[in-house]
Amino acid sequence: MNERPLLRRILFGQNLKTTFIRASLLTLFLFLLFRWILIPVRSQTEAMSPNIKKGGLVFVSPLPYFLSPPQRGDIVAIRLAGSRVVYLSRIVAMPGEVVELRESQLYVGNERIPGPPLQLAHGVIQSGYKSSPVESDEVFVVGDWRNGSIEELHSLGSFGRVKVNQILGKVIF
Amino acid sequence: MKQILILFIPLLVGLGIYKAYQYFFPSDEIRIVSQLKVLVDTIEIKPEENPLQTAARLKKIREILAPEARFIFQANQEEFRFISSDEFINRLLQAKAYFHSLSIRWEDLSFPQRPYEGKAESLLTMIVEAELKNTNEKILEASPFRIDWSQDPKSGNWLIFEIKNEKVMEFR
Repeated sequence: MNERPLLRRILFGQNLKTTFIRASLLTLFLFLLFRWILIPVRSQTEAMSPNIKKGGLVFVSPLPYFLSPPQRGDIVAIRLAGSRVVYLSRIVAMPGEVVELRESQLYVGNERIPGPPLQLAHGVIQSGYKSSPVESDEVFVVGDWRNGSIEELHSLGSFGRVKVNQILGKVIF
Repeated sequence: MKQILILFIPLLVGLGIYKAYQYFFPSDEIRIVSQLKVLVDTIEIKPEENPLQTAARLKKIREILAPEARFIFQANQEEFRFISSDEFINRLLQAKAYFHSLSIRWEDLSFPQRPYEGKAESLLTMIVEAELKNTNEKILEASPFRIDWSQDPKSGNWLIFEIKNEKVMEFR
């Protein structure tokens, strides 16, 4: 039997046709996996620091939300015009609840939202914000990074009410 | 190897013919994408450029705007409306005073209304990267935008009729 050279066997296998089909199927599988099931997202802002650092890579999956709706505490990816660029934020309030700001600390009803208070320049304390009740098809999200006013956090995409259908998926690791 | 070449050569030839066809007979979508490239290249603020050069470049923006073009930007609870290209260009020139550099790119381009009878609607995420002059602070913001297009009946060029940012989050 005519043996193929070692390098050729490593690169193309014993049977070129079979190797080609296997490689194509593997490529297709990986494409579908990372396109629809385990979507890699690189954080480009501080919005979720320190839990997700700027430049950090996370994986987002829509699968958990096929089984149960989004829950308080979940870190979610929120779609903009599509799924290539998303906001990362944490769900803090569910339908019917109201988010309030008292002395730079965020509350849902009388329960304090875990995390640091809003850090404003010169130690200014911000109060007085009260959201409308979260509607039945919405959740309220706030980023873990709280250095700025609520207006600044909102413009970063990490403070506000979002429609549940805008949520691309849950950050799973 | 011969089998792979037999498979790949027709594929490559087919792809080449398809690309050549797109180049010589671009679809309306491709022509809209070219106009978008002009838009982002024109808005860019380059640190090495002087204000006169920037002003000359910004005037090119008229070539891609419909005469009645309008721009609606919502930030927090405020809405900024520019109802003419001149107003928009003036605002961009003012921005030059604040930014050391500014660049725009887009992702997730789609056409909720495909080009049809001289009208089209595109949806995309604009990503703005900028550096402030005074503090050297770097800004990175992403927002979804809806751009309405109308086709100039004379030249056949696609022109921007309206640019509006879409709300993802409700503040109140």
